Amino acid sequence: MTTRPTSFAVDAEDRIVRTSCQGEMAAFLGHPLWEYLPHAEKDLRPHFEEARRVGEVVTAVIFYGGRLIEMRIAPTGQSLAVDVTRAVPLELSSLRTLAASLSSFEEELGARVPGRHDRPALASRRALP
Amino acid sequence: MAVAVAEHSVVVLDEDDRVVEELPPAQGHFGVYVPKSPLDELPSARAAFGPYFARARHTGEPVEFAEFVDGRVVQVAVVPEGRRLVVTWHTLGILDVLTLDGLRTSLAAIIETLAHTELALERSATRRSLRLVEGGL
Repeated sequence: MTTRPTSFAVDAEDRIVRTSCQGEMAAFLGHPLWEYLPHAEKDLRPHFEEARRVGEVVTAVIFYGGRLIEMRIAPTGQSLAVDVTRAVPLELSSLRTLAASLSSFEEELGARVPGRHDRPALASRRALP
Repeated sequence: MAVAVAEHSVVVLDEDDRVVEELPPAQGHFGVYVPKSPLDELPSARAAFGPYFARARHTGEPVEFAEFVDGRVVQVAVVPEGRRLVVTWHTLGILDVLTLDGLRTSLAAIIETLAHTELALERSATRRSLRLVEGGL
């Protein structure tokens, strides 16, 4: 996450309205977040929708850009304030490290499906092949 | 699908695994390691390739293998020439790690590519062995 900001905010249309990053993301101010994070909408938007729906802080865990990313999404008026609190890179050095990494990610991703607050049954936690 | 690539590199390593030459020059991405050893420069390379290099030197016979390393499947041929090794490297596929969907799909493709290549190399080695046996009869 070296080029990714640690915090940003989006409006009701998911346009970037604030960022703590002075680099790449700042150039996307006023643009949809999905232009800055291509193909992230499918995984991230349900968490945004949940935060808007419940009107409370939501903690989301998604996989994006080779990392497991944990973020805190806080509704603030018409916008959402997003803080990236953790980014764990996928270990790609060998099949052994990849398998261990995927196993750990699978646990976290399966436990953080939007709208599901209890831990899922083992059989339904197949987030990864 | 795994990201399709056509990377191909041929390098000559000295007895300490330092790159002494890239063939043809500046065609691959190992030229940047002259005169260093990629086994020292790439964190995962020593565990992935070191044993094969040692085997080729020890037996004096070529070694060919497929391996997953640093998010890609590579097919590598190692041919000993005295104390030097001529190493040919093909990248067969790269894991797509942008999204979970891409990871799922490319991981399945990568594993299939690895299994398919290992099987093909095993068959090829068996054919060579049979030819040796037949030639010796």
